[in-house]
Amino acid sequence: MNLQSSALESDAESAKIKGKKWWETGTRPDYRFSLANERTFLAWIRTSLAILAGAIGIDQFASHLGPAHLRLILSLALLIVGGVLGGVAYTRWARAERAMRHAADLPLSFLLPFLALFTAVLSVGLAGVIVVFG
Amino acid sequence: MQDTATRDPGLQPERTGLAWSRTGLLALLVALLSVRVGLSITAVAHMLTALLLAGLAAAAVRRGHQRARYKANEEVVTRTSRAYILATSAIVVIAATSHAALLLARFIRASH
Repeated sequence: MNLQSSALESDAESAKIKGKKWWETGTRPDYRFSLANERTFLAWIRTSLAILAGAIGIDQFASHLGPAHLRLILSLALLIVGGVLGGVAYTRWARAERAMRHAADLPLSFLLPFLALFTAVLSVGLAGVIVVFG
Repeated sequence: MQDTATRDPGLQPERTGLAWSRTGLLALLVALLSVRVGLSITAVAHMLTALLLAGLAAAAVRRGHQRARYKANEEVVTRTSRAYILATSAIVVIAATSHAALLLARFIRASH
């Protein structure tokens, strides 16, 4: 792992000297892998956009649902998670692309378990809100 | 017509093109929701966010058409494709941030 990352760093340095961008270093992966990586990026972006839509929905279309503080907290939590996912989608795409170009292991991502946990907590929380205030 | 050497039996370019279009349609939905927020409390910032998201929707659908025409074994990751990906990511982050900031500002104003 350390060997690989230091190899990536030295490659990034030599790329900088030669004026190459990181997506021009190493060897070009099978175009299908790069297209799949792009689709995975887009899937994360859609997840993020759907979470944003949920946040706006709670704010705009659920005015009877619980006290205003609670709706604010729910909306803000969704907006923050949506924003973070949208941003991390880019770094995940770039890291995967770079790893493929250098035949390194694909980077592990905390995104998936985090999103699963967030969705679980949110569903239980929303169900509670509906039972108590609905 | 593509010859057999460049034909992709997995239809990867078409699937990628459709993924861009789907993303564009969802961006348009969030743009419309932002307009709705802007109309209900007349905030110019929401309209700007909506405009940004509508721009993303248009760009994504356009990119989808380009991707569907992609010929196998062309370069996938170029300056242009990275620009599209970076801009998409950035617009989503900006939209989330502006919505969060304006929601918080509205709440603080209302509680005073």
